[in-house]
Amino acid sequence: MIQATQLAKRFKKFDAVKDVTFTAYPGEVFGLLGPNGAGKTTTLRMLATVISPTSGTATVSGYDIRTQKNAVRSHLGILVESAGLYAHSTTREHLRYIGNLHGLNGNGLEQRIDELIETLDMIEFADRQAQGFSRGMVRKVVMAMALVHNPTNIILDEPTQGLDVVSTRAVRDTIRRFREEGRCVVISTHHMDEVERLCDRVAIVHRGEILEQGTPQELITRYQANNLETAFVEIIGAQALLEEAEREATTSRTRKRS
Amino acid sequence: MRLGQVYHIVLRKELRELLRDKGSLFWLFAPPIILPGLALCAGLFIGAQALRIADEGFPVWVENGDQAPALLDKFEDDDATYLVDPPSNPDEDPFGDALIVVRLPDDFALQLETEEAVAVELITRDNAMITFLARGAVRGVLDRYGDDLVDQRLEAEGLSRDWLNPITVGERKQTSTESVVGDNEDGDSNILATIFLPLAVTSWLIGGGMGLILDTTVGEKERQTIENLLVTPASRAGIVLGKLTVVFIASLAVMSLWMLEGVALNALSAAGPELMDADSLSPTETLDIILTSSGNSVIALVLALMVLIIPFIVTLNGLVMAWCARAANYREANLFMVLMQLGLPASILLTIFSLPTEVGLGVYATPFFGTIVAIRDLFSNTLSTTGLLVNVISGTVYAVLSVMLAAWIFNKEWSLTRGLQ
Repeated sequence: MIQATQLAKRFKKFDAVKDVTFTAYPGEVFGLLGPNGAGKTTTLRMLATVISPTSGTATVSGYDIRTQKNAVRSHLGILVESAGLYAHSTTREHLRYIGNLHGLNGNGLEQRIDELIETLDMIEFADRQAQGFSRGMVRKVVMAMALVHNPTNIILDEPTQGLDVVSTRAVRDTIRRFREEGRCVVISTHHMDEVERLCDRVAIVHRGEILEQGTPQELITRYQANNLETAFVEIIGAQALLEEAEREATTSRTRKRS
Repeated sequence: MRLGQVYHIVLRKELRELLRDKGSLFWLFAPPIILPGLALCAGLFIGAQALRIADEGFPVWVENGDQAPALLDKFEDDDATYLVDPPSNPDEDPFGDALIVVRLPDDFALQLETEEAVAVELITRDNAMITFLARGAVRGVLDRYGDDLVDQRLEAEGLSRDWLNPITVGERKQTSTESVVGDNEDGDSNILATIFLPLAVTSWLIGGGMGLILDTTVGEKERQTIENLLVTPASRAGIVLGKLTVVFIASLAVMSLWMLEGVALNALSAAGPELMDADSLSPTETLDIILTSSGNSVIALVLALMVLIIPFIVTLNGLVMAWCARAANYREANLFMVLMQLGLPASILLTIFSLPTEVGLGVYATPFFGTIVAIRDLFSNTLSTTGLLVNVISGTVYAVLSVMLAAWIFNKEWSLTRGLQ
């Protein structure tokens, strides 16, 4: 289970994440849906202990991301959006390297590597050096690297970004399998159809805050929309109007004072 | 995960990447392998030319040679020159069979008789190496002819040759009895050995040590592989140590190659005259001459140099890694590299030439400059064992501190997240 409580991150004078609170349960795919720059990736990086929150906290399988970083890392696998590979290592060597760094070795690790290679359909390039891999191949290897230590919680940042139709379908099938296996999956995306197809619940993130959360159907109903995309635009649009009204109120107060 | 385990995992992986990366390997090892090869080719070429001279000599035509029969005799007697007939048509082809023409004035004999300074002209057709060598040989003959004339004039005045040279200068090197390399009364070989210093340090710069650090640190950010590492429970210090060790191994291998070549050059230059004089030598005898002629302790010199340089490399590698760990991309990292590449040789030269020949032990303990001075003194046979120890101990402390700095920076969010997309 992943539980975020009032997570916030400030970079110098810029609030990348202001207030993010949600809970993702085992056997559930939880989506963070938002436009570019909404703070989704920063939130995921905080959950993965790559960066520390300025305030608030989160737990992964009950371990605190601030104080129990190594335990969190052992129970979490993350697929980074733009992750790359080492040019002169093979797929198998990549998986072995990350597995070793998670403290795994021997037959157990080799079996897990074989299993991932088969599951993610990487047999053809399992023993090829990564130089010249297509984007789809790289995504598969990186996903396998996130799963090599068999984590109970999985974070996927834009999992189908840049993939062709076949690879996209394969990745979505894999995500569904994670849910069936009882894992807790958090995905970040700005593709509505992906959320509708995959996510059990979704949170709409905009300018570092969660504006709404619920099942896709709940959001559609709540905003009397035909589909999630319309609901999303309604939510983001309503927020934009609210922000504009706040700005105007502040400006008029300033004028009166002067 | 324990630091030692992470260290081994990262070391293994980085070594594998390096050994498979043919481009990096080429740029690491090509300079120490190719440059001496080129120097050897140049040496062989010059040697071949010298042999040709020994066999044939340079063809010379002396215009108005009848004015100076003694000069013609000198050209004939000299091994490096021989006289040729004048060209059949001097207006069209002033050289004929000659490589070089010595033009004497029409009244050469008369000018000599009146004890005037006579102007002789050397005419060459090009700037080729062979012409350059011929010019040197012809000048040598002319100088000896001039010396003979001076001797004749001095004798006519009842003066000896010593009258012209009232002072003679002799040289002797006073070797420190405490020198870590031992005595080297001859000391000539150490003049060549001073090339070690710029070679040893700059070879680290051009030898790819920096490039490797760049690749293993900023490269991780540029390739977007760093986050895969950061989300594992692996010790960050272990990661840094593993990466640094690979860079250290590569740097040491390149520098060792340079140093071995430098030592061989140094030893060969000292043993050259003895080797040339010997008729036939077995490989063992040749090696023995080389080892004994190059001072009494080539091995001691190399060992002392290695002991001095190892902490120095680690310190430099640590500092560069600390910077690179913080850099967001190659561009930022390269700014530092440019500064290092310009600043390091400049500060080495300043250190060598600005500090006095005898320095206190404290100087050997200063970071960076201490090692430069120690290497300088090692080659001038003035580095004492205490000086060596002071430098090695302080150098080791600086090496540990620089690695700790690199590990500390590598562990900081503000450095690791710079450049993340």
